[in-house]
Amino acid sequence: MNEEIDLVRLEQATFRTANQDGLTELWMGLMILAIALVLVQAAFAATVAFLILYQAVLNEKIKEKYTYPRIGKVKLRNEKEMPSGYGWLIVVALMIPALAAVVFSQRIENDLLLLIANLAPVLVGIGLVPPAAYLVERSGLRSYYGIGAIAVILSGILVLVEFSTPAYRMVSYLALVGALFVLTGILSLFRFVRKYPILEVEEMSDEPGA
Amino acid sequence: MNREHERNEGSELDRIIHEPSRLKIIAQLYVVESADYTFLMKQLDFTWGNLSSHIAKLENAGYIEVTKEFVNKKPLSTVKLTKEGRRAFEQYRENIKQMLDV
Repeated sequence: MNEEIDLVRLEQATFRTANQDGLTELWMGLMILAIALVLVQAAFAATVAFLILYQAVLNEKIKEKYTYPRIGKVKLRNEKEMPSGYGWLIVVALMIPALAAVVFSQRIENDLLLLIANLAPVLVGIGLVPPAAYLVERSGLRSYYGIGAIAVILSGILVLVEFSTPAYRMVSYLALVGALFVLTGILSLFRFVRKYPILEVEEMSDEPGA
Repeated sequence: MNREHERNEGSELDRIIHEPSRLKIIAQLYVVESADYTFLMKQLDFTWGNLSSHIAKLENAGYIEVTKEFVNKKPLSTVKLTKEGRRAFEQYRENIKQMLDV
């Protein structure tokens, strides 16, 4: 056996297979939409908390019903390192101040706060680049850079559009990005379900030689 | 302890791993924590019987660990590389590299 075993490519192919059900995009979209809801009405904070707390459980339930019966179950290595330590730092350092500025700009009059609040979509857009880069690294698919690119370009466009308050701009931005993710996730899930039929019961027998 | 692979350690190629189908299985398991039969079959494009026979050989060699359980009243076998299997695969790759470098 003289061919080189490219483990990186193998790992990326495995990641692609395991994540082709679109659930990653779907959950990202729902999370972004939930944040938009919180900006509209703080009472929706419970929705975000619910999503964060039960996301893993709900995701597993959906996978048990739609994913595993079709392509089987695989546990990837280092699943919790998402994106990387520095990646998370960028995400947190950009997104939290941006969202906080939007919230506080509605209550406190301050020029700097207003400026940050107006530019908040751009900060959030840049904050979505590390997760996109993480997905590129894990999957080997450069198309995931598109997530970051769309998020940044859309934020730039919305900053140029006039809104009555920074909160409206931010909510519009999050709603658009979130909806894009959700749509991508649903389309991927639909394609996945059509592409892979559920395996027959006799095929699922694990006895050797079956 | 009379495992075939023990005779193949060192600079020789491990014959258990060297077989192309088993090499595919062990390389696949090397890059994941664990995988079930269905995933391996789909990902590696093996038939059920083919996969089962190679899994049995790798399990006998102590390179993989198979956990059987019932999920929603259906049998589910999860396969995982053992520490010994991981070490053997790394050694195999090292040996292949050395052979090709000569």
